[in-house]
Amino acid sequence: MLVLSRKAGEAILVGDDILIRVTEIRGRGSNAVVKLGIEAPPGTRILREEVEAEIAREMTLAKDSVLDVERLKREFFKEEKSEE
Amino acid sequence: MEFATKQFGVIEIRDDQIVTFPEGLIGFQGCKRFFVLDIDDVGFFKWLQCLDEDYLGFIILDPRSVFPDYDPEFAAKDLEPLGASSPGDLVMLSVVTLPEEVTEMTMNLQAPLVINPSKRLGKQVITVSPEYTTKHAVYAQLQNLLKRTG
Repeated sequence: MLVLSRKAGEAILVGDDILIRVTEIRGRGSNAVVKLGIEAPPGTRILREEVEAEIAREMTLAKDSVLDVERLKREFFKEEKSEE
Repeated sequence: MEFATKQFGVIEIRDDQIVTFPEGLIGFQGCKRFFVLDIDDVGFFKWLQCLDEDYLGFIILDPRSVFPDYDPEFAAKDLEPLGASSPGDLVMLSVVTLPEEVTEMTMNLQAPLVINPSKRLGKQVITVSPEYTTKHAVYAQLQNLLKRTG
């Protein structure tokens, strides 16, 4: 991995059309927070790294869902049922 | 072809009913071919059966049927592989998480399944709209909706 040091206000260029600028550095040590400004062409997906892992975790929970048709019927369609 | 599912027994599937997700689903990259199964008596909910793994499937819902204002934005490059000429050609489905307690049912609005029905191609796309998360409570909305339409 390429590692670069930057001060607040400085930026790096990625390829021809992506710019990442350190706009603010707050706090010290392990509490330090860096604010980044990103310029990229429209249509570029920019995400916090943890988002994808979170979605994968949710998909695993979804997969383990208990699909009990009778239960869904009772919960959501009981009025319809009683009219029949 | 015939396919044996855990929950619904043997189902008959025509090739033209199979939707391919070339990249799989997030966390399930090996699962690329899917079939959407209507569930009798609970028509609102559908079942997305993975055809690459017998026991893998997901409960899905049309997100706009529950949240009519749902309007996620996607990065253009994410939609390119679906080969749609306009966004209007695409259909969205959301994955439901249904824990033991039905009232805690949630829907994933952050990463819907986007499908181009004419090419039978799909992709799970993470929206760039920050207001959508993986867990939107959906029980009360569904109750109200079904009361109105039922």
